[in-house]
Amino acid sequence: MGFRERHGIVDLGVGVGARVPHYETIFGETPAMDWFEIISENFLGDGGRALEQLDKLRHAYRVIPHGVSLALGSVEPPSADYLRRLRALVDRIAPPWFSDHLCWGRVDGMDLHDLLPMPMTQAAVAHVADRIKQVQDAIGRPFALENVSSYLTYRESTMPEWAFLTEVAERADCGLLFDVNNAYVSARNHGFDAATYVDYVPAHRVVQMHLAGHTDMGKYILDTHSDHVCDPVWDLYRRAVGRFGAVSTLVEWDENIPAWEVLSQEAARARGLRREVLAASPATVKVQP
Amino acid sequence: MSSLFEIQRRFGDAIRSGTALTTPGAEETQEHLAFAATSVTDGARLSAVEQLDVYREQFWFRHLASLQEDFVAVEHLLGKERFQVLVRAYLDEHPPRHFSLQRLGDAMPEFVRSAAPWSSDPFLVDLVAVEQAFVFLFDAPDARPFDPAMLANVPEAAWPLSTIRLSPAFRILHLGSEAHLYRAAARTGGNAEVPERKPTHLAVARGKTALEYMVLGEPQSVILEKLRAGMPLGEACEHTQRELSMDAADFEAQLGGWFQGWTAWGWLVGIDPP
Repeated sequence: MGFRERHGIVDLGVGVGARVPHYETIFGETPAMDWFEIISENFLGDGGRALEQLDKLRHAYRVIPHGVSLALGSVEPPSADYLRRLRALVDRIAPPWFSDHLCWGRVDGMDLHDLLPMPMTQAAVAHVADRIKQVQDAIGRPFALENVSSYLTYRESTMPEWAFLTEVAERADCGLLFDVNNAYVSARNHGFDAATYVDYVPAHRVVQMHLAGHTDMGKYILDTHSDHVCDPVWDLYRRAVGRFGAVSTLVEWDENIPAWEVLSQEAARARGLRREVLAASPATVKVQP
Repeated sequence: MSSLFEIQRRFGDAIRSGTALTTPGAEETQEHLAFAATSVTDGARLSAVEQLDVYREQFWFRHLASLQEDFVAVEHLLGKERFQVLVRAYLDEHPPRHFSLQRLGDAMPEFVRSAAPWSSDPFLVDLVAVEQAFVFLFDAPDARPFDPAMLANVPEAAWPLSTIRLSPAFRILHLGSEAHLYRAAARTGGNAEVPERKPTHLAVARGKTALEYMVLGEPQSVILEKLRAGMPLGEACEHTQRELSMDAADFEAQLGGWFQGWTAWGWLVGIDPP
């Protein structure tokens, strides 16, 4: 039995990231949207308006928490305080899964606030897989691991990124949040074929996908979430839907945040494309109960 | 082969460098260049050093942007360049240690109070304190509003010995100027002018719908500080009146109104009998 089936994880459709500039529209008009993703760290405070807004949001929509600070690859573990707060948030929302990234970001007592790349070695696989198991136990919900965009490769790496991600997920027995744009960004920056990535990862573990825009910096591309999803990423998404089936999809837009209508249209485009692919290849459609 | 910790330590050091790693011949980056040479693969598009420098730039931009958002008025006062010098010095002394960027500027008030050249500018010190207080309040703990039923449980005779609980989303700042006015003007695009020196006791609190501030008279600020420190009510009133040499009758006449206001604004949240 696959990961999704084992955990009863269903397809939520296509959602968007909940961001402050859209709150007036979201809370004032309750526009149609399949679901919302929140950045966990924005709701780990002790009180204040953010938590009130979260409660309003989750009463109107399905909400999934997505973190940026677990830093699972860091040798230093996340603080007990962080895990306690994350647990409280997850308990408050009761989502079918929660997610964070395959990266490190904490060292020498510092939080570097970035999704830093891992050397892709067997030692790193063992380290991250153990850490994920600890986190899943501490939080008590299925966890989904996201591939990051990267701009650097290590001499020590002994396997390609898709094999590293897969091996970690298999050993930790966790889900995957496949970020289509991140796979594309890393492929462009490091000169591999992103299609190979899509074709390799275990489909049954993919519980969610991300779509986003990026910025071309000339010599490399930067994952900025600041623009429309570009055509090659849409093509890759089409391939991913064909392979993973009906999997919850989320459009991220964090810089140069556009009007709600623009973001909503981007989600609609993903919805249409998904429908098209799933209709054309019914064998891959496994919408779970 | 380097251990995972060793890679992360050297990577972390490199991306906190204030000097671009691609700067030719910079002495302070030699250690980072050595790390890049031994641990990072040269790519077709970017050299090993350039790859590492992408992360160094992002470290700087992300933390600068966060502090720019928290200290809008301070940047307005200093100008972009001097603000960046301040941020660089601050991050060197206080690298980010909390998972939340919201906490990045926690030590900024203490830093500008103690580090040259900023410590010699008392208005800057005030302004940093005001802006940081508002950031702190944003997600400070909630507290249930004061319930008048609590009073019924406290016999009148026990009042003087009771302690008063203040909201965790409430602070008093003792400033040398009305820095909050500059903050408000700078944040709304108004005409921000450095005010003249004038002792100011500023209460800042998270209200029902927004962050709020109010200038307090000295007696109110003194008594609230004593209550916050856990001094019993009777003692706090008595000491305040004596310290400020206030007329007892006059002081008592004002006390009821102060308490009514503090309760209505949500500053007081509970009373604990002895």
